Amino acid sequence: MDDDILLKVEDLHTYFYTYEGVVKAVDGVSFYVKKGEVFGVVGETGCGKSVTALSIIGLIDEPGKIVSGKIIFQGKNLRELSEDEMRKIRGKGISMIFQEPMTALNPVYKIGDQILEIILLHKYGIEDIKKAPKDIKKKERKRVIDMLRLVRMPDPERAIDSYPHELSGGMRQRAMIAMMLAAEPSLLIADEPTTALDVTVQAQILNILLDMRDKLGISIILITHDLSVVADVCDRVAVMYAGNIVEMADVYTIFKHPVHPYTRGLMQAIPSIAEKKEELKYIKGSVPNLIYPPPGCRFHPRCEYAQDICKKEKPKLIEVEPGHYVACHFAKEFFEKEKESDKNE
Amino acid sequence: MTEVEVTGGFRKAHESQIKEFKYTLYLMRRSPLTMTGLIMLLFVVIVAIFAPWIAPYHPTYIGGQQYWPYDSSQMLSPPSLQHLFGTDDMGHDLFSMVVYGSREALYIGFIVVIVAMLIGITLGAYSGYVGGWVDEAIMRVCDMFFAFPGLVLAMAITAALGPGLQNVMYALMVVWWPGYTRIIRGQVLSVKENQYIEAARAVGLSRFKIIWKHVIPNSIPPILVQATMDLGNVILTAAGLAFLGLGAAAYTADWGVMVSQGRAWLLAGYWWWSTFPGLAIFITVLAFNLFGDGLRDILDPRLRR
Amino acid sequence: MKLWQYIARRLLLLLPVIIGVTLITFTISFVIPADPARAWAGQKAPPSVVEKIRIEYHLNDPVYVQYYYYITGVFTGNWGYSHSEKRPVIQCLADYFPATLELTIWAMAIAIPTGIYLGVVSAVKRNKIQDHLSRVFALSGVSMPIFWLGLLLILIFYTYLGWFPASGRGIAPTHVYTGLWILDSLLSGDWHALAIDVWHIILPSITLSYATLAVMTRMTRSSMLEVLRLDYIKTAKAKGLSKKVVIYRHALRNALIPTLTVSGLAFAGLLGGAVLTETIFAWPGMGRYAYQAISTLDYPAIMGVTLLMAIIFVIANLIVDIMYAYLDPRIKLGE
Repeated sequence: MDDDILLKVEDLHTYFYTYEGVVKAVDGVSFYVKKGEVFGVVGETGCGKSVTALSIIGLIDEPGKIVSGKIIFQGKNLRELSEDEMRKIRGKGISMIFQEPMTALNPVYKIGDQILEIILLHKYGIEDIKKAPKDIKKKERKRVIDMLRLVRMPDPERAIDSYPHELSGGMRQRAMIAMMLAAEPSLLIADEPTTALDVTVQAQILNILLDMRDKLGISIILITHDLSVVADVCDRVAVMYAGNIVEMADVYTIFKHPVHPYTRGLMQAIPSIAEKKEELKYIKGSVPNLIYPPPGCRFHPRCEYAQDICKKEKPKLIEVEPGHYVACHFAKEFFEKEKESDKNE
Repeated sequence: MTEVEVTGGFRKAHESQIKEFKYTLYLMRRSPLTMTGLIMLLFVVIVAIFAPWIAPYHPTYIGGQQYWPYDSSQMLSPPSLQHLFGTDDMGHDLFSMVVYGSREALYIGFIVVIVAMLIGITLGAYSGYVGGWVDEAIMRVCDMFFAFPGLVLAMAITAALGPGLQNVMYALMVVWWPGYTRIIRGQVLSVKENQYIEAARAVGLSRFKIIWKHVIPNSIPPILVQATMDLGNVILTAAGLAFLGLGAAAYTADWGVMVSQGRAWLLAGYWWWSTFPGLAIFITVLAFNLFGDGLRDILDPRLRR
Repeated sequence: MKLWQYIARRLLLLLPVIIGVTLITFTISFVIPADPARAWAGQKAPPSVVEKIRIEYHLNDPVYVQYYYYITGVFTGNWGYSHSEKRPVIQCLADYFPATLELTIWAMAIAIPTGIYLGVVSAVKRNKIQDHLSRVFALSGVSMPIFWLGLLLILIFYTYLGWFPASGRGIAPTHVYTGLWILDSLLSGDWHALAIDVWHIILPSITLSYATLAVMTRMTRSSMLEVLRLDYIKTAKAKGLSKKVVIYRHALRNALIPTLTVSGLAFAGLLGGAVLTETIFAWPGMGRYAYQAISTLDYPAIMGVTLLMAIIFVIANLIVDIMYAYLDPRIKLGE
């Protein structure tokens, strides 16, 4: 196995057992993340992006369950670890930040204490802030301020003693990033970190994330439904549809030579200023029900190229060129066509 | 149009409601505590309805006063096959009295809750809908009542009116109406914000019709939960007042009175007199609370899925 | 706004509430069928004496004038004359209040920690056996007639086992400072009285605490369930914190805020329950005083207890509001 691979997910299945039936939220997902890269996972709401992320960090709650698959992080299969061992990975090995900075910080504790908590836990094994020796607290308080400065928090000395409700959304997300990087993890999962923020603040937060990658050498899994975010910051991208990865490649390839009909649909749906069209393009149909997903290729009911085989057999993820994976029965043909048209241009 | 089509039309028009209702039934079946509450409740209601067939002895009524047959040779006899719950110090059969007592408990509970609910719905809907100083005034009056511990206020009112079942019920109605007023008002205010009320007003529906068609149906779930729990609470409080000597007369089939009378004999080892009527209160109130609590979980949209 | 300013403001706002409370108690006293002048004068007093009392106590004046005298009486400590005790009501209340206070404090001390603990267990083990058990336990608490529970405890622990006494407060310590006998016996170093008084308070305080304990359990459970679904709990787990820390440090602190509000309301149940508990255990507090007043038709005494309990309840809720502001940093004291 490659030395520069940090995380490898193999054939992950995560199901939710509900009243209506078993929701197959993640159904056979495989991908890998290299050291120091920003890996994007993109797809519509409900396609299983967030469930994939929570599965990696081991925080799938009832009635959800990881049914099968491997999650190999730094050579260890996380699914074989005990809860105690897994806790040592969370925060220190793999960290995660969430979509809503408004609700992701505990409202009754000061920002500084919430950051201090994770440092004390992973550096000294102290779970209770109140029990920490004074000198350690004093020393680590400096580190908290440094972390806040690193994420370009305005006036970090003041922010450290603020409660979350006293900060703006962008500032809270900075605090969240500072907190989740405070214990020096090697992988940060960011689940729609900018969706709830203003456009101007979005760019700042994304820049901070890139900055962190450069300064701390971490890998980032960036989960988003926003293709412009992907284009801005990601190195490689996986496109998810209805619990499956349909295409995975470096960001240039995905945008320039998308092969899967779903990816191509997504790309065409991006409005462009250069070529003004009569109407916005969109993918016809709607996201399938994940309790009774369509048989065969899950995209076939919405695919204009669908053939009989698409309704019967589930396509495997195949490598059409080095580092470019597509799950489509006609991947090769589409790929050739795409190359042809590229030559003609 | 044939009849089949009509029912089919009904089904179709109410498809989502029927689905919700089926889901509610499913949740209820899955919750053992709610089912237990329901079964206990049915048991109490059946006992109350069939009391004359279940109880071996029956009271006679002279001038509205209840008189029970007694056997002076059987005074204070412990539970036996002849007297399942034993007898009191006059030789009344306690089992029969406990069985008949269920009628009175349910009667108090239902009448008080229904009257309090009617007052609350009227005042609360009016208060919330009209707003302004009327709303302010009604709410301040409610606050005045909320400043009292319920049992203490009921105790003062009953004491002022004089002991007796009727007065206990009046007192409990006075104590209970503000709660419903507040719930209904809150519902009205939240529904008032909704756009479909704006729409209803725009098409010219009258205030009364708006409240009747939009506010009341939306208020049913919280009111239903509250009423179920309150049935238990009213019965419990009424028993407390009876225990303090404010309820029905001695030697009537009133659970609170029976516990109160038996108390003096308890220390001497005649445990059954107080124990069985108390157990009856406990079971009845618990049934309402189990069912109401489950109902709340089931009807709570936040906890539904 | 400073905390003391907030408290001062809230205390001022208390005034209209207490006036509202007196409006209700006044209305109730007005309904009383018995002639208060006759009650004071006694059954055998000649009509002229009754008439004199009537004039002296303004009973012939219009309602609003009577209310004026009533409310000035309330604020100046003239709460009427308790003919069952043959002394002013306010004196009786002053004597009986500490006993009730002591009993309620003990009941709270049992109910709050136990209730919160059971609520947390119930929420964390939702729909598991622990949850069902603690829910049944809690629902039994709110369903059980408090007087019946008291009687059962007496039957078991006094009549049959003889472990605990069934009536009274025990013996007064050598020095009485606060009227709370257990505290006083600690202060005066009277260990003999301490042992006896603790012995006496165990059964009544357990009896009184059960319903409140149940309310606390239910409220903690539902607010914990609410909080456990929130994002910051996920954050806390993602930090690698243990389950215990996530539950007690991150979830419970937040869940306690609504629980606290309810504990103020639960205090009402405690006061009502005190009337019944004191009656059963012959605990010489306000509740038993009210019970005796009922049987002797001592109306001023009943109204006095009612008024004082309402005032205590209102003040308890004020204290809860202040604690609320302290627990939740989001609450601005200005509001």
